[in-house]
Amino acid sequence: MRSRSFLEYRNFLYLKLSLLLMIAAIVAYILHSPAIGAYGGTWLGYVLGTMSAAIVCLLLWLGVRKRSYFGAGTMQGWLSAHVYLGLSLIVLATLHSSFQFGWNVHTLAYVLMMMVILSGFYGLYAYFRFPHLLTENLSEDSFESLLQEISKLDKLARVSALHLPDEIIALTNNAIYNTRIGGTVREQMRSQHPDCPTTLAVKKLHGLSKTLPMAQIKTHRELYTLMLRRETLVARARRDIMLRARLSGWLFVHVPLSIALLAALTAHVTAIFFYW
Amino acid sequence: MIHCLLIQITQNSRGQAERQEREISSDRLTLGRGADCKIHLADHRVALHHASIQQGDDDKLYISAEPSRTIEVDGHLEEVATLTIGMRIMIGPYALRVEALEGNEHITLSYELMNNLPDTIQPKLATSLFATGLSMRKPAMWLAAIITLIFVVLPISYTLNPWLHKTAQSIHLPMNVPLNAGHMSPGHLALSTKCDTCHQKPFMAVSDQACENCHKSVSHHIAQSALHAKVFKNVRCTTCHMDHRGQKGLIRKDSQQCVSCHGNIKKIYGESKLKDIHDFSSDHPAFKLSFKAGPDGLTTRVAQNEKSKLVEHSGLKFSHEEHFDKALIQTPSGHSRDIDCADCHIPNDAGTGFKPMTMPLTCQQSKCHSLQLTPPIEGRVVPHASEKVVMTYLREMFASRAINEADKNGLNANALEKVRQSAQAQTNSNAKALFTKEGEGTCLECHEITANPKNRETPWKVAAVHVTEHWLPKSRFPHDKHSTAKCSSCHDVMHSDKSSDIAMPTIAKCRECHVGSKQAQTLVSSTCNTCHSFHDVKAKPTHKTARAE
Repeated sequence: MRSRSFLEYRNFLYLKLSLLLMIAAIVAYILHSPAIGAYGGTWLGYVLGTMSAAIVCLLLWLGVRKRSYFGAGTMQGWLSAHVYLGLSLIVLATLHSSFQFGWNVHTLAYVLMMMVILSGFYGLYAYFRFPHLLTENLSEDSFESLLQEISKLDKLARVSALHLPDEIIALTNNAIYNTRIGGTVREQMRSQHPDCPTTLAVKKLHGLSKTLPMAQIKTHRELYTLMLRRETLVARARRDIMLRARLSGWLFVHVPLSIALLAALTAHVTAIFFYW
Repeated sequence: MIHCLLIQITQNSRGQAERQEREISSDRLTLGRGADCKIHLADHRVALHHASIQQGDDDKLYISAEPSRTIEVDGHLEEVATLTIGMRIMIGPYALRVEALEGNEHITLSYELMNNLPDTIQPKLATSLFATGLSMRKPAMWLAAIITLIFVVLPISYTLNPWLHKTAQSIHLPMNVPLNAGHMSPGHLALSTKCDTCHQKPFMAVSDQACENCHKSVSHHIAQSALHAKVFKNVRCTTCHMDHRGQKGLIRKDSQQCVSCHGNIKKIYGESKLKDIHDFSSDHPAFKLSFKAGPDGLTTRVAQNEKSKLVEHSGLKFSHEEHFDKALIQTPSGHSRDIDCADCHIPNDAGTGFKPMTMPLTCQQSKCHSLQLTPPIEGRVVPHASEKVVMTYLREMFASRAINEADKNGLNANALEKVRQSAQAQTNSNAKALFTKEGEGTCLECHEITANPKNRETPWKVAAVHVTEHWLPKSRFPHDKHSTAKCSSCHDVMHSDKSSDIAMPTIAKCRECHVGSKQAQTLVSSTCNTCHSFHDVKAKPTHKTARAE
């Protein structure tokens, strides 16, 4: 039996609720025609604004709820509501703004909200795409076991290379010492590593085989095989890091912007009522 | 041939040093990781052929590095060195020591691997985003703090703290501008950085007093102050006038607010005699014209559907029809000419209405009308003025003429009496002709005149003239905005031969073009505000009372 995703929670309960909210808001917006034009200060504007602010607070509460074992509802339910109600905010808050934007705190709150929602969409995509790829990449291995395997290969390579020319041992040393697995944010995020020393060693070892005396050919072949294996393992380890980084990276945007949105929303509401 | 006692020092599993000795002999002792080397240093940090030991001509033993290799002798990088007992030579991770001779060998060398490689030599790098030092909490807190500071703390402090307010303004840094919710109306643009002009108290709605501080002379909607206060007790200026919405919000032009009361006026004020109205196109009542309906001089308001009462009493005799008849119109030069509406109805400077019609401006513009003497005297006409002025003018003119005549003939008592009687007679006859004779060039041609024999000095009285200027004083009608239409398309005066005729268009005529609040493709959308003004309760003069001055 196929496991049900949080998106299908209680037969799409929150999707239906979200669609209902959006359709009701759009219909009300079309029917409501204030004489001085639609804006956030009409009765409908206040209703849409209050609903949007309440939904933002509810969505932010997910951060509190997921750190607690106790509380109303299941985490699956909360996550489902988080996604669909977040989606409805695009319509509710946009209609609340009545498409009027400027260089002020009100538009700042709107822009932050949209950025949070967009990053959330990426997060949703990441949750559905990357775990599968992670499993596929590691298969029955783990990241640690990959590193251990690479270490074993390195020891063997060091022994094999001992009797080979200095140029080969330099290539081997370079691959062993300077191949980076992980590192900076950029290195973790990218999928291509064009200057990888292991790849370079594999490429050059292949060419150097012709220059070796017969006695060293076998050793060279062994070393080449080890380096090939190393290249594959390094690529898998890097891909594991990349997938994990991409799976969690959006949160480093989503969470700070959510808190910034809370501050901007507070400023927006305070400004409206302070200068009533 | 060099004989060497070679001692390899290793460490056992308990960390104790173990020595393995063997003897080697060769003309040249090679050192390196290569299998062909006499002293095999098996580590990839050592070159395949790193160095060699040879005997010199002086029988001393030298160690020399292979080209492009170096050796470290007692802490110094060297290429060649003479071997002496106690010397320590580092080749890669191996430490070689020249030891004291124990037998017949030429040299005793021990070597030990000093820097063994760990099993794992991969660089320690971050393998997760958290391990890079990337944080969610820090940027979140910073962003929240910056936003709170710029958009909450500073604007509120700027508003509440006079010192900060003054300082920030002096450097042209109004801190509450980022909170501005929308475009200011053009009239309030100067206040866009002075929020406290209107928003006088935090968290309190803009008060009427704040508006009235500047707008001191705004009229009420209802003339009776007590009734106005009762009806509008829950209505604030900002109920209708909202800023931060541009001009559109500040001055509402829709009918919504008006209809909210006038749609069911009895609910607002039970004693009201006004009819309910929802839209111009549906239930707007007939226009009520304000004019003088009788000789008593009182202005009355008559609905246009009460046709029998639509009789104006202006005190003038006037026929539009006659003025449009080319055959009847003769200029002083004797030629007939066409008369246009605009010849008499001259637009005022604003273009919305017309200049007041007067005898000099309207009737005498082409010397069409003048008060004639009988018999005519060259270069003389009677001035268009009050009865008293006319009588005085006649007396003075004929008296003057009589005195001049007497001067010519010589003065004596009889002659003077004759001159006086003649002047009196001419004055009386001319006055009688002007005030009582029908026809061109007399007062009676245009005015209603009654005899006043008790007043010997001014024995005739001209009825006061009431020329209606505002037929619909509770509305506005900009004529300039209707200049594309002919006058006659609204005012049917071509067949009007009496001044009592009223040629004001009815609401039906307006509805031919104006449709009310709804949008229509070929008609003009018109709200209450198109014609009426909420605050305009001051009764405008509906007519101009003209006395012949």
